[in-house]
Amino acid sequence: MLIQIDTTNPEPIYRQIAAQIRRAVATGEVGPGDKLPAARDLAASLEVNMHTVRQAYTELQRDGLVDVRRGRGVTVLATAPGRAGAHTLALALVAEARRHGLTNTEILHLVEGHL
Amino acid sequence: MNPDAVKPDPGPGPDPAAGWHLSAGRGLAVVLFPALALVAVGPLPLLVWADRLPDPLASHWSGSGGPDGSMSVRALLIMTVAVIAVAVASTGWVALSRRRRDPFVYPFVVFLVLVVAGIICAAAASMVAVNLDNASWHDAGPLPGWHLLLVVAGPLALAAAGARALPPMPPDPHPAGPASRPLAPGERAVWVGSLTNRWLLVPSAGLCVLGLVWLVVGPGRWIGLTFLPVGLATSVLATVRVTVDHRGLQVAYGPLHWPRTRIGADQIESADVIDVHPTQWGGWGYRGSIRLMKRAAVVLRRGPGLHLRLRDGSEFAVTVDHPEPGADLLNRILAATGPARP
Repeated sequence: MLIQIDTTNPEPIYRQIAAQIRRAVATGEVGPGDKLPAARDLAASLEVNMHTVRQAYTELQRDGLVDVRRGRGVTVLATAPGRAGAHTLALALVAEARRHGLTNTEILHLVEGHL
Repeated sequence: MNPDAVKPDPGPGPDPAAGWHLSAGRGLAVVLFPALALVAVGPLPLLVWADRLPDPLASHWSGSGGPDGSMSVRALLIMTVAVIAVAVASTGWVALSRRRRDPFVYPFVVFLVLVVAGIICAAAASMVAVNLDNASWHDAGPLPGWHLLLVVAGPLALAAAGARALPPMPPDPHPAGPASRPLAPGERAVWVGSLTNRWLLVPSAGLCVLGLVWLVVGPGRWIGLTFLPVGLATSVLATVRVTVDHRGLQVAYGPLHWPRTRIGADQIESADVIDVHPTQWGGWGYRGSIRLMKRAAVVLRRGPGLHLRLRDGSEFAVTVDHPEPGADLLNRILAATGPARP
């Protein structure tokens, strides 16, 4: 699993880390049952604060991609690949809609109309 | 520009340049040198001193010292000549072959055949020495211990030399792709790869459980204590996690990711992907030593691995699944920090 961040990018680092892990799950680089590195190790590798990595893991947990258990590490869930794929498509949808000048409200309406 | 023209090689296809090409001289040496050595040790003494040997010869020794079995000179001669013929056929096949094979096949064949032939011929030489100038095989003295040592150690050394005379392993089947751009300032990256050998993990876990259960309920509870360290020791080499980051390469062993070893980025010259064959690195587990043998590898299975060339000329390999992005990242990190290093 490759995680690459850019500290000159205005996007918060924890979101960059979460996005990279989401991509790794979507492409199958990490699969259900795999354990992600401990926050402390990943933070040392990326030279960021441990809480930044924790924040990324929390976001992934909220998205239903990983299970975070104290003392047992962070495990990729069985449902993760599908959810990560949907998430990637949503990101692409937002980017494409913005490129064509749609506002946030219009994008929300667009998605809502199909629910 | 045609986009196909810049596409990297799609994968490890058969490469005609990667076959074995023994030069005529080396091919001849690989066949002739061992054959001459075997003839000189095996059949030659038998023929030269035939009139000073009893027939049959003492050929087997009991534990108490004296000979307890015999064999005719003719049978021994036929045996040595036959194994030499097999050895020559095998080394000749290796020398003449132009077909690409697994890179471990040829050295392995040469090594195995020369060990077996060498032991049989050396044993014949030892029998000649012990039987010389005796009237009957019953008169042969006890077999000296150093004979046994030489009969085993000599062929091993000969076979190792023979296998080493072969050219090094063929070029990597995974050619290095076009080098990615170095990490830009402000960019940080980490690659985490892992590999688990279930054939080792399951038995080692089983040993640990058995040890624990035995410790609680078994007869002679202390026996359970002996299972635990063995189970834990094998589990350490049943799974590895490999991390590449700005600090270099880290290998974490076992389900607990401990112990860990690190090779600093300042020690590393370059990284690539190779096919790891246990026979080339001396088997499974942690093989060799970077400091003592300039060559070390963590081998959990046969297959792709991350391979490092170090600045002091030594090399290190670790088997890991899908190592390509790891090797690429390491090279990008080295390219980014390279010019700043002394």
